Amino acid sequence: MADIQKQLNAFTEIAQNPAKQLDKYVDAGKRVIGVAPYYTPEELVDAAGAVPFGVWGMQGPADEARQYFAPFYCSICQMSLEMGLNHTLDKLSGLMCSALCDTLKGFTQNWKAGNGERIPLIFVSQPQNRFSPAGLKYTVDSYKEVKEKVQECCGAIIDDDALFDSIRLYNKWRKAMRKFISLAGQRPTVVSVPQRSDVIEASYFMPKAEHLAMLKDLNEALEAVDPDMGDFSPVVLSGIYENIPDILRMLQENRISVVADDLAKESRTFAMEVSEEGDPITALAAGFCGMGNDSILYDPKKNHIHHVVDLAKENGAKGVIILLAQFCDPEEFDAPFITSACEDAGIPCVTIGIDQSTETYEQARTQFESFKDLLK
Amino acid sequence: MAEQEKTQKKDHSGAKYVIRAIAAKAYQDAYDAKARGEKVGWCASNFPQEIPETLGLHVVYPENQAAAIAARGAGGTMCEHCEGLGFSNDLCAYSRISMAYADLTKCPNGEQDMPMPDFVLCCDNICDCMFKWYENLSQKLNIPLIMIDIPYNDKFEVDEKRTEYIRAQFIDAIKQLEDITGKKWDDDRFKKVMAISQRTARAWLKAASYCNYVPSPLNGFDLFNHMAVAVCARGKEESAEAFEQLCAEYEQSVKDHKSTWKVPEEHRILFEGIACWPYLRATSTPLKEAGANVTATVYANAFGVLYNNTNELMQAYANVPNCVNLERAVKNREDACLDGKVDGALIHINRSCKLWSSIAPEMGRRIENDLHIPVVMFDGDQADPRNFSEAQYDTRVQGFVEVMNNNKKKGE
Repeated sequence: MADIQKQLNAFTEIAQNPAKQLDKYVDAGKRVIGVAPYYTPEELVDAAGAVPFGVWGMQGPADEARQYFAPFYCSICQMSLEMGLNHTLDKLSGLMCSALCDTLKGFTQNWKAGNGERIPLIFVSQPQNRFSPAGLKYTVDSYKEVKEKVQECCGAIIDDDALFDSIRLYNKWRKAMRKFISLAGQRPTVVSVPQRSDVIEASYFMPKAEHLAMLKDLNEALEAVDPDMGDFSPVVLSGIYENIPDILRMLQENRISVVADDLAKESRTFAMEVSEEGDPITALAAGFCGMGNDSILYDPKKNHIHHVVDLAKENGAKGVIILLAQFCDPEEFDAPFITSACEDAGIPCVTIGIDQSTETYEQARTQFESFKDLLK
Repeated sequence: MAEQEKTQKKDHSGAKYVIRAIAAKAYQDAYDAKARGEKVGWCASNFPQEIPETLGLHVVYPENQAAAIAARGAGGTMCEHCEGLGFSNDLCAYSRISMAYADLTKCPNGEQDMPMPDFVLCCDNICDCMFKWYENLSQKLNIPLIMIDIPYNDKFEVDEKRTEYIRAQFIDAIKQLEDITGKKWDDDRFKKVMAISQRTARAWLKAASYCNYVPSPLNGFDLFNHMAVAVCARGKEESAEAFEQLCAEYEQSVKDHKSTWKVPEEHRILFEGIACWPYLRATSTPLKEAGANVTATVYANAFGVLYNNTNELMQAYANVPNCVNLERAVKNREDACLDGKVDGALIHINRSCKLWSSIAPEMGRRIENDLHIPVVMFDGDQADPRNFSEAQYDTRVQGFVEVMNNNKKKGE
């Protein structure tokens, strides 16, 4: 057990010190490419020999970003722009970003206006009608352009063999992440909610090969420990992200175990499967087009709603917590349906607003406490 | 005599009444079609209108409806109803009003009712909010959703991959609609609809261009009212005729030195963004008092969709406002400013439109730097009355006008 805690501490050290990680790789002569939301073909960065570096904002108030965004914008975009404008990210050789929501679209333009000369934007255009051959073809053509831009930013040529190596690596890593989510959720007495989050968060600040090596050891160690829910209540988290320190602490204080999640930054990302055969760009494109059950992605049958309920049922969750990222349209359009579907299924559900720039979460504390009572 | 005067006042043969009647008729036509047992749809404003028009389908426009409901005072009530269903007040007020209507199936006081749909047609070229909203309508009403996805364009021009992707979706959408409605696509009819749409677009562009005259023969706010027909009913012959009539009236006004702008035109401005429909009077009155006429809006060129072939038709739908990159967005505004010979720009930071408002501050800075004109922003909302402060607006407009006055004095 002590060994597991030591392993978890190593992840926490990385997760809590992204600037140190950035310096480490840049000092070692590596190019580092920022990777902003959502579901971009990060494998291209890895295949170019560069380090992908998650840019999902940070805790704190937006200051310089206010020149671009009014206050009613998602804090991921506000704070990511802030980090560019205040030079926190100057060591990046590029920033890869999708335009899968309206705020991201504006973000890409503001990024170019405020930071583009120092940190070029690698714009990733993806289709919403992903189910047709035309959608796949569009993605392939778009990813070819992304590849060229990544090559330019990394000063490298990506060959097919290297790209397939990266695809295989990412497939293994995503599989290991799915396993970790399951193992950690069943062992809340060993892996706390903040620790679970740190294991995931660390993956955003290091090459996946390094993270996978650490993760495999951790998963092996966790498998050797019998599942034990102790006095923890199993829940599913739904939303975009969870890593707000106060929120993580409150989940832990209320003895909540995350047995599964429907978070864009976590399991929605880890769900992607990429073929290891054929043309690698087509494989990456097909991987994206095969994604679903997501508020961000066009979902004409609203499968996302049923997916959350299914996740809860399949994992024995006693409740669903929607961590509603403030000002996130896609989530706000889905949340009432999820709440209603959970009610129909007899699964308690609560919606808790989160934001990287919120200073206090006292209301959330009360909500967590009341919700905890429903889980008994 | 008095009776005769009253009758004369009721003469509704002017272009503005004709245009208004076209918009109103679309609702009635949809009701009639529904009564005949035809399937009717709700349609996103920037869904290619050529498709339903060619198929002879009757569709109505939730955005248009939401604007009408807001302008007639029920925006707040409808938004609150939607929030009662669990939706955040952060969401676009048009979408909240529409989702409320889908739940209630009528307006509180008949502000703008329309028939319930048998299918919904969505295009996300103006925002991703559209497809989430239409997903919800489809789910709530258990009806088919047809979506043409036009991804946001980071480049200045529309490239081949986009054009081909849109074309494939056109074909898919037509097939789905044929299956749903039993109507058949006719290429000859399509060509005719495209030709009429071009005639309408040209007439719209010409009508809007009369703002370029000094003084302008029209109150720029008039364009907000005419825009719905320019966007949604381009394929109808009567729309082309109505805009041609409008052009003729403006031409006559120029000749006669008349204008629908009834005070001296002290200043000419760009009004940027969607109108604050619940506060049309509150937003137009301070401008009128200061003699500041709107002689430029992005709508003029944006919805004069011109094309010579189907490739250009596809590309036109990728060039609508909100689908273009910052550079093109700025150019569209600056061109409008130069054509309209403006002295300043007033920018609506619209709480309902995240995409539009997200690039508005940078757009404003560029316009200010490039054209050396004052640019002032105000906070508002296209349909939720709770997001607009008359006091803030008045103060901002006062400051704006002062700067324009000073600039004018310096130039004299």
